[in-house]
Amino acid sequence: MSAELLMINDLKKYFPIRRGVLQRTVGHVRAVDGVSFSVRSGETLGVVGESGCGKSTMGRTILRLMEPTAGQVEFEGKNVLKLSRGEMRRMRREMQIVFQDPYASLNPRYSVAKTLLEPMIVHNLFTKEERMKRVYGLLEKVGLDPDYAFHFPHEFSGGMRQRIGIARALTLNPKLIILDEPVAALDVSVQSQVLNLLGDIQKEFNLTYVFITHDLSVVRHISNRVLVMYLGNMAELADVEKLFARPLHPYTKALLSAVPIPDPDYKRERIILEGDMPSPANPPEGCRFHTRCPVRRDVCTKERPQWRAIEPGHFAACHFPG
Amino acid sequence: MLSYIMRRIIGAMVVLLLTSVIAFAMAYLVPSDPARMIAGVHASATTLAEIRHNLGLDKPVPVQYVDFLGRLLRGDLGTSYIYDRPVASLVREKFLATLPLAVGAWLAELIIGIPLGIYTARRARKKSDYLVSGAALVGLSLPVFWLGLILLYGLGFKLPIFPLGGNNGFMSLILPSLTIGIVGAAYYTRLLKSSMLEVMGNDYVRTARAKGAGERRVIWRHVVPNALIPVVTYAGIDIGILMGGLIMTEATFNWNGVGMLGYEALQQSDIPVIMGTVLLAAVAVVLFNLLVDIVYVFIDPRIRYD
Amino acid sequence: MALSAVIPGSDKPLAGRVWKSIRKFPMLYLGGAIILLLSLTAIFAPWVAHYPYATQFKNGLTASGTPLSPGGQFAWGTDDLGRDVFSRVVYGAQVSIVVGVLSTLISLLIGTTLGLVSGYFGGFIDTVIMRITDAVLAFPYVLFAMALVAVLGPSERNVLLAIGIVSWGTMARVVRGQVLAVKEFEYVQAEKAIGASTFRILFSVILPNIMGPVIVLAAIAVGTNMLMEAGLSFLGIGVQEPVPSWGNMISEGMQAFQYAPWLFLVPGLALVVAVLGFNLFGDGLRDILDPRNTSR
Repeated sequence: MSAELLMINDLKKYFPIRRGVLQRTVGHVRAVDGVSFSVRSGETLGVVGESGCGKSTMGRTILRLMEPTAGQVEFEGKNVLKLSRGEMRRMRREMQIVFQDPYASLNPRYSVAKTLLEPMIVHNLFTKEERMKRVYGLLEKVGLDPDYAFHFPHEFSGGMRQRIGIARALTLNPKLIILDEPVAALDVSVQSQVLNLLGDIQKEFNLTYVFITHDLSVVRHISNRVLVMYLGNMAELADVEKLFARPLHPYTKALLSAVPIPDPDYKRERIILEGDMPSPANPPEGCRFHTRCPVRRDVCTKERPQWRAIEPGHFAACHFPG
Repeated sequence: MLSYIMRRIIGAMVVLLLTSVIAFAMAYLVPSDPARMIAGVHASATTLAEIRHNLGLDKPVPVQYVDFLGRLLRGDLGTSYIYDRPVASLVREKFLATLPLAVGAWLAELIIGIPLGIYTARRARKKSDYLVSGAALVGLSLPVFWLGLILLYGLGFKLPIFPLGGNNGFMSLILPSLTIGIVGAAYYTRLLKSSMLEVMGNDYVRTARAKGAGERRVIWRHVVPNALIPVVTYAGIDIGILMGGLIMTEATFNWNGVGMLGYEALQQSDIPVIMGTVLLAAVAVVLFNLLVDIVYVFIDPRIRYD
Repeated sequence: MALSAVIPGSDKPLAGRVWKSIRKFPMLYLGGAIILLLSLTAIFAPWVAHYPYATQFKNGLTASGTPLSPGGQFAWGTDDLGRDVFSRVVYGAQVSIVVGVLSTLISLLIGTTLGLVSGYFGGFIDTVIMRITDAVLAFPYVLFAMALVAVLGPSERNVLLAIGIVSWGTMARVVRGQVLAVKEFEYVQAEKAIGASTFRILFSVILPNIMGPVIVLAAIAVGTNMLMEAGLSFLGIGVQEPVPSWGNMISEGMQAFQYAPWLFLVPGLALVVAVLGFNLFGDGLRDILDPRNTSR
């Protein structure tokens, strides 16, 4: 059993809403509202959900790109949130992120080489020659011609820029990489190339991934386990095949029913959810999902369902799973 | 909407307080010793100490500031070194003379600037646009006092159409108003042109045209009202520029108003008058901007909801 | 990078490309030419000028003691004291450039730093800095500078300082706006994720990416500041006699405008052309940056 690399406990991130003359805080947007899970070394945890369910916010909060409102984050047993500035800087070498937008995630004024050198310069690693060697090495690793090292981001396509972003994340030899919708902005044909690249790299460098996406087919392809989020809360967590074969939470079932299957003879029930997603500033009472749930009963409007293991290794928060 | 206005008012009060601090800091920076200025060069040390004590200059700085603020709130802006009269009453006296010039200048800016702005927007990229926009750029580069001299020379001396300065009667108002007006108009022209071009590129304008509305109606009913919104905001800043121009213009045209007062005070290092006028100007700017902000709420439907 | 934006097409002959570029950005080149001319005049003033600026020539006045009109030995005429107007205008260029550029640098320094800090950190710091900026901006430029110079004592150095202190407000606002726009881009977040210090993020990452509008503002500010210096000198509290500033020359010319109009016309014209140069250049810069700047 590989060790737990990352442990998240009851993580919350609220954004205050200010109104009125004195800009009083009248409420909070509960982007992340109590999320707990752990990630084993070497695995890929997929995190799925609709836009606005808080998955991106969660990813950034874990890395302390935003400070969480409450909760714990432990990396290799160390409490990440309590680290001093200096310790946090060193910790950053272990955890990195790849962003969604290939056009906004690279500094337009830095050449590719400079972008890759930057982390090494910041942490004062290696000599000048070693750094450049690493740069060329990384470029090759992600499938880019090292001759392009001194070109600028605007000279590359979206897919190539994402590769550069991936190379940058690898520069410091991290153990964990959070991938925030890394292929969402790419053409479908390019998506699979990048996904394959990510898989190869993971094996080669023994990386752990937290893969955030809204695309279920992608998640199936790349994850070991999957966490489904809704409105800042966890809905379901299971091994990938179990989730797809036997989804327990009604939300998961609805999501899965919407995934296109390229078989004209395959008939199935589309579960269409009624209504829109409620605002995270004013989440519903009881089970957060009850306003749209096709199997809601009375108790769902009053009590929040407990997060428990319905089967071994298969968790859900629902009064009537399955 | 009410809370927006309240917030603006509180903000303005904070800014006013800060301006008083800045004015105090400037007054406090005076290297010349006011005691010596009043008592003369040969005064003894005891006399100087006595005067300083009377003026309250030996108290600690924060206390002096509070005194200063207190006096300000009572309308006491100090006493002129030269005239030995309260600054406030001097300003009040001259204010009435400056007012017609200020209004005239502002009107000139608007009357010249806005129509030209609309004109250049409608004829964008054509020869007439380049001509007028070029003229606007030159207008921006003109020193106000120099333009005044040119107008005075050309239209007052060479062709004696207008009187050579002084403030008596309507005719003498024209040249000074134009002086400030031409330079100020240049800003309005450019601003309105870019604002109109931006609005004209919007979809709702294209929709209006597609509905068959005549070009005239499209421009005047749809484009201009929306394009004028940033112009209203600019009017708040403009008043500052206007006041700067007033002092130069009054000096050039021998117009006996507040600007002239300030000019003479500069020549004679009458610090209280200088400080008083500048502080009043700043207060006027803040209040005017507050007014603009409030008016803005009523004309821009987008910010009505907090 | 900028050069390639201005003169594209790296495979065609240089002369043709430059000419094409000039036709495309006339304002930039015209403004640039004026600035160049002005700078050269200022730097080489002692060689360009015909005479020293303070020399009063006995043959510089007519028999009745009035200034000579332009032409002859004194290319642009003489003034009330028999001094050569042309030379004085040339030396005046020195004053204008030095004061204009240095005061802009001061306000750039103050304004950029405050704008960066205010925009990046937000919250309380932002509110405080912005309120102070509002207060500074409430004072009309000229009047504020006037008061400062009156308090500090009239001199070229004080005018320089005063103008710089008075004009950082707009700079700060613009920089702050730019920072707010750029702050949320992922490459700034990425820099944070790597562990870069705040200082590095501000000055190595954010600042270079917002330079465009800031430089445009700076170019135009030089022009505005030159006008302010001229204004202050005109009012008598700027550059002092006998050192010529275009402003104080105009002020002298005002006394004599009925019989020696060139005394106010010529320095004024020089000033207008100089300021126009910076305004053209700034406008031209804005044009270059605009369509090409959509951050891709």
